[in-house]
Amino acid sequence: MLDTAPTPIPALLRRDRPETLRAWSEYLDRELRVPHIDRRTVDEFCSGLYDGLVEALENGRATLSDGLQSLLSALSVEFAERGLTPSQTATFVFSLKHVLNERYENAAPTVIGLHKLIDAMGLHSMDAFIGRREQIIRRQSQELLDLSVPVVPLWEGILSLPIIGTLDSTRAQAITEKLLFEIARTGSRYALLDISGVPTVDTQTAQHLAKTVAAAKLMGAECVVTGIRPAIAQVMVTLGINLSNIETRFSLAEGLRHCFARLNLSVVRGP
Amino acid sequence: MADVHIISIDGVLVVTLPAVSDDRMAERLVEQVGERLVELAARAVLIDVTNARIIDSFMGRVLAGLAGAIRLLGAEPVMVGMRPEVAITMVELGMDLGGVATALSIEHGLAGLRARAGRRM
Amino acid sequence: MTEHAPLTVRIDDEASLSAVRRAVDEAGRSLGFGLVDQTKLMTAASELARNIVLYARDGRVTIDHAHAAGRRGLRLTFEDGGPGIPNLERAMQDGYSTGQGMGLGLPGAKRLAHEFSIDSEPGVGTRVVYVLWRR
Repeated sequence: MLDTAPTPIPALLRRDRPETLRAWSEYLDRELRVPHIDRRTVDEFCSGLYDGLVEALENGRATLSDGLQSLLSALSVEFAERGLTPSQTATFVFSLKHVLNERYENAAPTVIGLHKLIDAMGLHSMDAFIGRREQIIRRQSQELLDLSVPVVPLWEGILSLPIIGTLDSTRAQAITEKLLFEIARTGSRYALLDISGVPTVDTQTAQHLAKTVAAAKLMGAECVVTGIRPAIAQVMVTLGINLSNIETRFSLAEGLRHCFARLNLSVVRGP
Repeated sequence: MADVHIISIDGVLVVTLPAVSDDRMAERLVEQVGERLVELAARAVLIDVTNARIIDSFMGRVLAGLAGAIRLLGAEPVMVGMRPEVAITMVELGMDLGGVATALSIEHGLAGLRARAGRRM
Repeated sequence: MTEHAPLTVRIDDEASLSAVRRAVDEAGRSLGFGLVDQTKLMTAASELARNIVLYARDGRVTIDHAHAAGRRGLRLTFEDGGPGIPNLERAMQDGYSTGQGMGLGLPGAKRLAHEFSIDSEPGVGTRVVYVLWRR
């Protein structure tokens, strides 16, 4: 227990830095195992946070400096990649409070500003953690999206795009973009969009299809929509969806036949 | 100020629009193309937009106007080489180019014209 | 976290259009937009800037980073000193045109945006705010 002479808090913290950091390290060893992260990295984070805190108190700041925020973000990312949960990360930051409380028991009123800062630090570390996770999820979603839009060259100049599952706005956009870039890349004049794997076609889906067809047309390619089941056709008629300027065929085979005809190709039975 | 590149292949005019089309170039476009068209008695004009990274509604109207002028002069306009990202944006923008014929590239355009001419004979 | 200062480009005449396009292009690239989004961004900027060149005076566009709920994006604020749009509702409908039969391109620009707002007061001026988020 230390004396409570009226030394300003920041100066106090500076003076006691080595011992406090040591106490923090011991506290962490006892109470909070931080697995998979080497001691030196943990110690570096601790000193960085400690110094950031002292600096903030010295400058009378109520909010976190850019430097401190960066450190907290880096800490969060490091912890996140080691498989720690956000609350473990925050608890790590909050543990400094315990350590300071233990050491400066009698100076309780004066450490309130300090508590606010540490709270802010802990919360920021959680935000950074969550932000990083969302970044990872977004990247994985993108990869999933890429995988789920297979554009297959069916024949020279004919691409096939079997669309499976529901078409939300994001997915529809991804499909359109992938198809059009493939058309450009392969120089294919025809694309068969098979929707037999799409459970429902509402107005929005129909609009997406229409836009895809229109964009392909501007590029110089023709899309044929195949696999419209009778039930779907019924729904589209009821909704007043007009696909009259889009080439449609009942099946992929019929669609292929149409493209072959356009390309002046015919399938001939052998002798 | 980038100029419009006009060449003739097989009695077909190929007009290549530059990457950046300023408005002055756009104004002279119809005039320039019209002159060469008549001069060479071309039967079709390929409007090559491969280099165009952006086609806004102004440029869209210029293209539609060009296509219309070409038709008036008795030739067939074909727009070729539109980039996928431009096509997507134009559809989103709601631009209507008046149903001008299109082709994936100059080669595709020429092949298509030959095929159509062949069938007509 | 570095702060990006907003950039303002004056829109006086046709020559300004290339300055606007260049500035928006750079800003979009620095945010790392994909090709399609970059194209939408540039096309909308071209539309909105051209509106000012054709119909308004004292025009400018401010290019700024937008932040919200962990997302980052680009905000383009087009402002001018008049004459303002008398019937905003009609102007936002497709097919509306003024002057030489040229549409204002506003509904189109809106379709290219994730967020879009327009305020106009006849005799005072117009402000159009266009936002595109990074996917």
